[in-house]
Amino acid sequence: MSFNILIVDDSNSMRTVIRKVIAMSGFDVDNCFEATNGIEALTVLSENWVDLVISDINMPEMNGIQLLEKMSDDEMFKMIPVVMVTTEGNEERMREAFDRGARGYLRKPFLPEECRNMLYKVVGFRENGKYETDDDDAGSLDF
Amino acid sequence: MKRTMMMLAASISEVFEKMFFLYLEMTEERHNGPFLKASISFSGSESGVLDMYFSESLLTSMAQNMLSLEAGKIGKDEREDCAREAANMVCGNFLAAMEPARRYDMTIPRCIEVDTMQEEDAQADGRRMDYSSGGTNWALAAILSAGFRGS
Repeated sequence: MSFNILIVDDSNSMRTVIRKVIAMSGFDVDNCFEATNGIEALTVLSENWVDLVISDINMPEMNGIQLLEKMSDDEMFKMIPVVMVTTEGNEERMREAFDRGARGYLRKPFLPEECRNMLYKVVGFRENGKYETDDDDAGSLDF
Repeated sequence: MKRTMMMLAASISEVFEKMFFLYLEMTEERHNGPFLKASISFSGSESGVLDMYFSESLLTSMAQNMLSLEAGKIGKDEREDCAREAANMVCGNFLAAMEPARRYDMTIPRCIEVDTMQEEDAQADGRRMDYSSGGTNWALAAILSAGFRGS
């Protein structure tokens, strides 16, 4: 199973780090798209098939919470799992993100293995190189 | 204020060690510049500003480690991006540690080049921390605006 992944962050450095973590994590990635804010992310989503979105919260133009809201209003986009990777770690912010459909939440700063483990968890990838779908009922996955 | 600054110091250490693989040491020495200054404002139950002054050599090392690039391939854009991202992470991490149940909104960090530290920041005793690393020209100063106390 290969993935198309969208990384949304206004920091080029942070997008690069996340892209490298993904590359080192054993994911079979077809395309790794990038966007610098929520508006650009929606454009990428409307033009490409994306399996997983990794998004910052604090961004110009359209922030990560607004992006989640827009995605949850769209029948297609709301099925795509979103992991928030952000510096904003207070409980209210986390609740706000989960209430709007985020599947995972990773606080910056993070170690590469923390990022990898969160992504594994969200896409159902196991350390043995299998996905949950390889030997589980497909219905047990939530996307 | 002492507890607040200790938590800010813990946040700086965590960000530099985890994201930039750098171990900075607090110093009494005051650096004169030039610096790249990154500022981020926050508002919530209290408001404030965190200013961080970076020497160019420190930013080059940060970008090298974060992006796995050679020093010669690191330009102004990479250094500024690292300064903004560091200020963003330090501030967010600090506020979450200080008051995890309270919500703070942070602005997008801004960067400017300065030859010397602003007078107000240079004299911000008790709200300022200076860092260096032995044998290098790394310099970092972090200044929390007056009035922020945390709860």
